[in-house]
Amino acid sequence: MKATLAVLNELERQGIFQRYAIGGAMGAMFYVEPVVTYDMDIFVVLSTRSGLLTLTPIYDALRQRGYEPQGECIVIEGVPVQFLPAYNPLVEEALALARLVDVEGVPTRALPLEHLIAMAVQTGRLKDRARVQLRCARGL
Amino acid sequence: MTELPPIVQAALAAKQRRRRALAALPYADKLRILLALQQMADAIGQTRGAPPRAWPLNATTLLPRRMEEESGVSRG
Repeated sequence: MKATLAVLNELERQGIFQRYAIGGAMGAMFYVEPVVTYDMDIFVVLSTRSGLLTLTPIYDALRQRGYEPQGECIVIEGVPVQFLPAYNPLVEEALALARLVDVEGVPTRALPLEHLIAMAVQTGRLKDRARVQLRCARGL
Repeated sequence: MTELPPIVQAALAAKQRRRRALAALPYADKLRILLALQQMADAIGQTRGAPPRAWPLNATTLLPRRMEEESGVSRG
């Protein structure tokens, strides 16, 4: 995990994407108790000059480093990572306001809790709605 | 609505306290719990032939086991 975050930090430094933050269940874990998940959702502001949102530059950069796609993810240092571009104003704001956090010496960012909840409501799947209910019920 | 029996209220309150205590842990400790949960889920899944999905990370260092082995070789 720390090695995965170090690779993401390196990609950001190299301008492969402008900014990233952890979302989904792994992002929520910064605020709530651990839950079982098998991938890490990484939201990114892409470094694009055209209006087209494409993850190809990220995948190309990772392939050059020897990491291979697996389904909708790409496995970075043992952790399947799913990249999601900022696809609407809510996600753009979440990325802009992402919190700087530290995982045993490795700096990274987490989406704010309020935005994680709003994004879960917006996504609207049954499991997302259940997560929102749980977080609200726990006063978080 | 019928009030819950005191013993149930106490159990629910204890669960709530535990969740809050877990939520307050450092993120790295939560990751270690996640790795343990993944391995437990794998053990159950393997009884019905599901492939393992737990991340191959060292629960102490949170680094890939492969990386640990390589650094061990270079040291040794």
